[in-house]
Amino acid sequence: MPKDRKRIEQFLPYIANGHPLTDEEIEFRRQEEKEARDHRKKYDDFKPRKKSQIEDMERGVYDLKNKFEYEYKTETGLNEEIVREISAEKEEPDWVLQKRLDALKVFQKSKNPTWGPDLSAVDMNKISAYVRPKAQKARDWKDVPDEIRDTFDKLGIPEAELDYLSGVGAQYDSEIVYHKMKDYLLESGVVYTDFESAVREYPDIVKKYFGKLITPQLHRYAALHYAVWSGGSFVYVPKGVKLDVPLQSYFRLNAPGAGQFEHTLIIVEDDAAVHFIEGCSAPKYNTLNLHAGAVEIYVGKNAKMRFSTIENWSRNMYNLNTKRARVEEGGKIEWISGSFGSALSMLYPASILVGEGASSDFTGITFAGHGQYLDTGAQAIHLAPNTKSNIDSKSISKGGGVSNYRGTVVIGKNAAGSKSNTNCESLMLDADSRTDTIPGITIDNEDVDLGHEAKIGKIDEDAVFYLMARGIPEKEAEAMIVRGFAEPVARELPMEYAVEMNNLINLELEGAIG
Amino acid sequence: MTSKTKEQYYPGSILPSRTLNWLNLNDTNSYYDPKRDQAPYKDWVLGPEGKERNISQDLDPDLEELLMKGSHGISPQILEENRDKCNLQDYALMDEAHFNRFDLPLKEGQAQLIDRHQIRVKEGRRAVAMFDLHAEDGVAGYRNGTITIDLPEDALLHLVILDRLNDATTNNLSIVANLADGAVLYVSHVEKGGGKSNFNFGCDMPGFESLLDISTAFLGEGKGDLDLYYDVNQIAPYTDVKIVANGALLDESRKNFRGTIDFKEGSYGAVGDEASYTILMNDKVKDLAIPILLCHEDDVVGNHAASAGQLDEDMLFYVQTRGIPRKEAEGMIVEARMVPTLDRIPDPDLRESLQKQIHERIVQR
Repeated sequence: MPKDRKRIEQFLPYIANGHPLTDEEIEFRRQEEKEARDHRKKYDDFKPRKKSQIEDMERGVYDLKNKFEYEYKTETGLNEEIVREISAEKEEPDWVLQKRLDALKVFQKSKNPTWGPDLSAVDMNKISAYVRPKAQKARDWKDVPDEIRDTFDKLGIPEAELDYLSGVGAQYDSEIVYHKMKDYLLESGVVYTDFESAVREYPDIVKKYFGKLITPQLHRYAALHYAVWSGGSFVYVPKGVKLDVPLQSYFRLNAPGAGQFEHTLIIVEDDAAVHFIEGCSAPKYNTLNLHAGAVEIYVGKNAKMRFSTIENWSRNMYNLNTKRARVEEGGKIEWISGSFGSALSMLYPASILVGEGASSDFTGITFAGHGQYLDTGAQAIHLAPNTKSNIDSKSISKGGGVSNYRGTVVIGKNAAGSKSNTNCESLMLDADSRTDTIPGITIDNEDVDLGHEAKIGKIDEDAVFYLMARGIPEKEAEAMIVRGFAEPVARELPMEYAVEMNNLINLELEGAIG
Repeated sequence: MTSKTKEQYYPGSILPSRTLNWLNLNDTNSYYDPKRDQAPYKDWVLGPEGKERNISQDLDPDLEELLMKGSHGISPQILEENRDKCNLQDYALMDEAHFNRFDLPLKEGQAQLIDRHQIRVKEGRRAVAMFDLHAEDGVAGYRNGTITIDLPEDALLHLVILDRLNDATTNNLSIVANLADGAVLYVSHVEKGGGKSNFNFGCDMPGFESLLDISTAFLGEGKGDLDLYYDVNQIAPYTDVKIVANGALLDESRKNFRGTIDFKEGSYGAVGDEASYTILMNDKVKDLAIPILLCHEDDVVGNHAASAGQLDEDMLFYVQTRGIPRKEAEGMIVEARMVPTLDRIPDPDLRESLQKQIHERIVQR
């Protein structure tokens, strides 16, 4: 057992007051302490703390591989010729090609980050940037080629579509193969289509927003993304339209040695609301597979956006996705993020709160098993007054996996009256694994209320009881009292295959650190 | 914040686990100047008088190695400057109830202090060492100090560090400690007065059941820039670490709490806590914190916290209803944050005078 702090702190002020003990008495005291400690060392009966046990994720259905047949595939590597080829294959307008070439230049000058996991194995010379499967875009599920349809059927996607969803997009390798939207959505002016179509049919809107929130200069893999992007979704929700059923996209990478670079652009106009669900998976191969997608979200005044992701890439995947949301006055964004797959992930969904009263809520679970290095987190950047952010993150590592939480909270000069709360828990299930928590906080305005799990003093039990008596669960009652704000949010996903993730989100991790 | 244009920027106290570069949290400006000359430093006092002690000017080679060959310290250049341009050095082998109190003034005629201290406490003994650096108004001082501490089995050292700077002074302090079985190191640390201060505390704990407790109280003033860097490696089982930085920022000051607690494999049963609490008293201050927990051992308890905000209005109201003017009330509340550290200072007069200085500074802002 460690030294007794209370005793030490009691005699600390008196050490220098001269010693009435003789040398022999001091030696005797020391021998006593040493013997007791040697005894403890020898008969050490350390009892590990009770810990939540979590089983490995069942990959089962996700690891199905289809025969690799394609219509068109670029050579491995990346240069101007390949970029032009991709653009030509897609028959893109000139301005799109130009954006690609500008991004390529940025990529060629860029370097890997000086922090985080080692990305030296990500070599574009081993990756084929564009693979078009043998399928034309279908509106009817029956028209999608058997194998592809089969895979998605097994993953539960079309079934879910019938029951729960307003629209589904399914992307296979580099192209969207299925996109359908409930008819009533079309009437209210909601646009949900694949990104290529959006570029052709809505060039004005796309030009206004595309590449402005995540720029090629942001980091190396954003530049790469803009050079070779393909596929992805475009969502436009007009003013005042509130979708009460979610939209969903599912990305599946089948080809070995290919890269997935989808771009999702979501624009939620003032007073609108939408829930968007994204699922990603790929079967396991022994080659390098890279995912460097981008998600740009614009949330208008008083609009609400919920973005749920389950990233379950195969264990050979490098997942270097970028997600960013810009939230206007009174707007709200909720991120729900589950990261289970990939060999290596670097994923930090960022909320940029630019309008007064904007808020951001992030709930994330990361589970790293054997051979995985998942470096994930969240960013909340407060640039306007009275903005709020809440980050709730759970990281679990097992069997030698590495699961890191890397958080960022920035309170800018103009963010007076802002509040921010972060709660991060890390659970290591054995001593082979590793979990690091690296939260970065910078504050530039005095009128702020920020806590990183800082419970200042005990929370008033009476106040908690009062709130619970009104039907508010204990954890939320505590949050309300400590930080003065908290909106109970139903953080569940409506998918059957997301049952496991929902369980993990609600699990109270016993024995966690942080 | 960091000038990379005219003067060359020498990074110091680089984080063992770095993060996003744009956050500017990975390192600090070490204010290293290769053209700095050696300077004399004569007027300093080792008190209290009458206390017997064992102190010599010859440095112990083992502790030298611990400092120069280890992984701690602000930066290799700063450590070399400390060795080559040193103008005050000593090695103290401390016995039971020893109290070494270094009074280190920076004033006209001696504005540069490059001090190199080594402390070893005999096994099973308890001792106190205090380093009181104070800079007179108007003196543009520079201090580059190192304190190397070796605590063998069951030794206990209470290390008191007072950095009372002025707006024109720069302070680099690297403390390196090694704790053996059952060793205990308590650090009470006070930073005030503005100026640029880099506090770098590195500690290895290969000792079974060793204990480290650091309590830092800071008051940011003027254009002060305070970097609080802690790097603790919990190596052995049942080690116990607690790091708390508590204080307030006034005027245009800035403070950066960069603590790293690393639970190495094999440190089962270890407990590590770190926390940074700041009161922001002006809209021009800047508070940064990155409390890092690195973990390679599953059966440990690690906690980190960071909190920043203004003075609690309810508390202020309560105190004012008892007839205390608002400024006084503010002084009381900020002082209350720093009292746990101040109370540990072994000199009651000094403690009172510091408390008064802090109180006056808030009341008169």
